[in-house]
Amino acid sequence: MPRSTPSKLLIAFSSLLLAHACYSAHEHSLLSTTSPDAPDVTLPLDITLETLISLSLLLVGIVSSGWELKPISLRSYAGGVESGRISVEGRKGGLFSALEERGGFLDVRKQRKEFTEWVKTQ
Amino acid sequence: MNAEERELQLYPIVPENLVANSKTISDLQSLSSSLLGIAAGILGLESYSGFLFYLLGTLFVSTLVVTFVMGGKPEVYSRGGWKDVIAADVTGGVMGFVLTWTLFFGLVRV
Repeated sequence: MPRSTPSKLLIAFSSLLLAHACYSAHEHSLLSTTSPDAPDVTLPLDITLETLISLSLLLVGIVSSGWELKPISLRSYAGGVESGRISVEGRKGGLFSALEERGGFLDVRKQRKEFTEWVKTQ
Repeated sequence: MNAEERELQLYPIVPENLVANSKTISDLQSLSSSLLGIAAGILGLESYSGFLFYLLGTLFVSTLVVTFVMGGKPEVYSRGGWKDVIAADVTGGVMGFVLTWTLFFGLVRV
């Protein structure tokens, strides 16, 4: 899965922001337990906003970091492989390239003739 | 031969690609649901509001997946179309969500 540079930057930035929000929330909870005149303080708006914004940026960064899906219909998949738009490991020239080289259809006489001619030139 | 078999005979599908696509989607899903759990823990959500947050978050992720990864055409990459993507998203990551949710809830507010 090749990651593009902008999404890498986005992921790095937003995870930093999320870590900062986490730290802030932790510090805030410590503060509210130590000070006497604060019985039950909810999370401040800026930490909430920071969490939500960093989370959405992080999700956008992860989703846009080069996940590749293949078409499931044989028609478009085979067409893509044939024309080289979709690359498949270990397969060159379409899904039916195995049909191009079949032992049973080998022309042995022709190959033997070619080989003797090649031997003569050596 | 019923209508679905007929459809499959006329327009055959590639099973390996179907499997590979659903694996990719579930990878993305488990990653994003753990992140949603982190955020829910930081926000200190409890009971129903946490699950509501998860539902909204996965809907957001599904929208992103359908828009960016699938290029707005989910029926090309999964059999059920966008409904299938959303169903897999919502059911697939609940465990990871609850795990990181409780973890971060405990870490932030001891």
